[in-house]
Amino acid sequence: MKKIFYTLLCIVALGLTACQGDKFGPTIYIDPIEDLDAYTREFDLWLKKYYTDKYNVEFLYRLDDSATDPNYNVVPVSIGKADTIAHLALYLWYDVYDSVVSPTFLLDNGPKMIQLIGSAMINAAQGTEKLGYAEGGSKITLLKINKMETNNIEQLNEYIFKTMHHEFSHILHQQKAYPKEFGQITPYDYDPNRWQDRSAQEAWELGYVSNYASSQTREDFVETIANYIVKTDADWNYMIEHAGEEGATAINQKLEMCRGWLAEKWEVDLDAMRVEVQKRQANLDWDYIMSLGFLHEKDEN
Amino acid sequence: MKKYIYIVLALASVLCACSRDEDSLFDKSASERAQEAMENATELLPQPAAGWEMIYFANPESRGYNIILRFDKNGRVTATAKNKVTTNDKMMTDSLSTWTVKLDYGPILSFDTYNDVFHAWADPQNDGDGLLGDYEFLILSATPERVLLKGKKHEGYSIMRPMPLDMTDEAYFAGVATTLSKCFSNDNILTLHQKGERYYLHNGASGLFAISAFGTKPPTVDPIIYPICATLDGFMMCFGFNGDKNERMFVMEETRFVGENGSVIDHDDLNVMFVTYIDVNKGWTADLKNSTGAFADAVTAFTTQLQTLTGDSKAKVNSVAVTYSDTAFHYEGSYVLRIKYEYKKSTKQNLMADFAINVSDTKKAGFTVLEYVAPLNTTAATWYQQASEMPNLVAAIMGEYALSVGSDPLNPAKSLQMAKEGSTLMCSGASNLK
Repeated sequence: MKKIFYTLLCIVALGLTACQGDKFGPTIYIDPIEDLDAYTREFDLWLKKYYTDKYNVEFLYRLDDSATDPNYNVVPVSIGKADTIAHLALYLWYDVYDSVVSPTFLLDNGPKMIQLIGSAMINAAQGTEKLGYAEGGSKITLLKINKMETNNIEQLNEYIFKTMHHEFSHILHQQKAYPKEFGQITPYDYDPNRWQDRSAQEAWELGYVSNYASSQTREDFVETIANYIVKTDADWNYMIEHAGEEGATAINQKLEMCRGWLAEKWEVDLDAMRVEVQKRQANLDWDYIMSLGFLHEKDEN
Repeated sequence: MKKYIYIVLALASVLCACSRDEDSLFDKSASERAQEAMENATELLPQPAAGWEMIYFANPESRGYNIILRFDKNGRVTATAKNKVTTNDKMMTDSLSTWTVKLDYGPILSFDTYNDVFHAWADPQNDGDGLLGDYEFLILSATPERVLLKGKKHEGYSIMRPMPLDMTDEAYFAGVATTLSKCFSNDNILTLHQKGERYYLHNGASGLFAISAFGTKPPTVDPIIYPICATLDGFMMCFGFNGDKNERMFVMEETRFVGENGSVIDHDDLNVMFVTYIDVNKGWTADLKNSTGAFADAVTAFTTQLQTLTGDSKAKVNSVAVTYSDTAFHYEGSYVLRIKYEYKKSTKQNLMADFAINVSDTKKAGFTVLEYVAPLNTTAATWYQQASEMPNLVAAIMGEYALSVGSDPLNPAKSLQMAKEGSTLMCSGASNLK
């Protein structure tokens, strides 16, 4: 009986597919890089050279609405902001991994797509806004880019670089699981629905580096890494001092677990990463940043 | 047995799925047609020398806006707009970003990098929705004269037409503003003639027509709303009236708008409109400076008597209006003639004399008939008895009027001429008479 069923299924399938009358002509999509007069050609060539060729990353700045969550209304990023972020991401992110970890680490493990979106994804009912997300272990989407003030490093970190470290950490733990014990450090206060009602101070006292970290374990894990990398010593120490004894102990335990996991599973020295990022954050020379592509290589030269 | 049934069913499905005799409605395959549509649009958009006027509806429930777009073949687009909502009534010019035409479920025009002018409608702002506008559009049709677009997410329809040559952007927006002020008023009532039926259209100045049965006011709960957008030569609707959803463009003529599929919008029967206008809780107020004849004389006579009686040489009549009052329901006709006047006697006295009157559009064919009934408040009763010019003034207003449109033929509520033998009243619609 089964045999007949499958045979018939094949016949029907063949019947349905046998009728394709459409002939496909050559594509009419024009590759802006091949179009010598394209407005964005120079930027696209730059992206190809410094992102696609070097890191096998597609840097998406022209928005295709069907690639976004239809439940949210968003707008594209401006070309100017995309240009700035592309340069800055090389300086504060790619080049850091190249110099501190290895020149091939992000080629091997980094995201394959970075998508920039101009606005945040706003959930008015919850009173929250999404600043970034990672999908399928390969794509990082960064939001609210149009609101970025390029001389405000705290804002850049909050909107972009913390988000990039956060989302990239998701990509890493999606490949190699983080220790189960991490979730046992402060297991009872995770609240995926009401985390936004907690102040930063309340989150610290409960043993989380941010209120979002208190939403669920995996967010806690990547928030710990991301906050540690981008927060200055002064900011990190302020948090520890104001977390109370219990909170500080929990945060330090979590940090130690993140540090160990990165070293053991990925051979990444979290503290060396942090030192390098902090050094670069403190010296944002825009003329330099906007003039360079392969920073690490140029530095060596 | 079951085996044979399956075989028969399978064969039937195969045979049905693959009828080679069926004639195609098109000469080309779907993919070829989609490619052609994309190529056509890609070539067409940079062509108009002065760019395009886009009549943009962010979504099917909001008023439309005018944007000037100029595409170049290298992927650049500039946008210019001037409106209260996104540019604070200032001209925002030539904001630069990129455009592309791509294939989704049809050819899609996408404004795919941020443009300060264009994306203001799509920005989620703080509530996640903003103005619920689109920046990706399905191209429904594209010719050198007109491109019809449908917003991909929020489904507002928009039209692009070539900008007139030799017209500055400032002149374009000034022209649109002229159409708006000339033809649309929140006090306006227009008549839609569509396929032998008549309907009333209310408002318009807010960019939304409320529709109702002829001679009636729109329902207060869930009125049926049609978003519109003024253009240089008339207006566009996001979607046409129920009888013809595709009739979007209406061209302005001297006394009417004519739709692209033959519907007409005018002021139709002014007598019916006069009465209905009062029924929607508004009224008519006389233009005391520009009215002439017996009415003007009566106003002058009453003013003189008022000054004599009060000893105030500056006493004056402030307004004469026909309106509606709940208390007038006790009287036949249930309308009110309201005369407001003032004088000073140690302190300023503002008086309002209300008289019940009949207003009828049926008593005499082709005329609006005003008939005096009785004083409606104490002021009216007292002055009607004690000031002899007050009954004369009231009598000068009563009568059989032939109505005609004044200076704005498409907007009778702005200027209506009421003529009877020996007297001409110029009136305008008013909503603050109650």
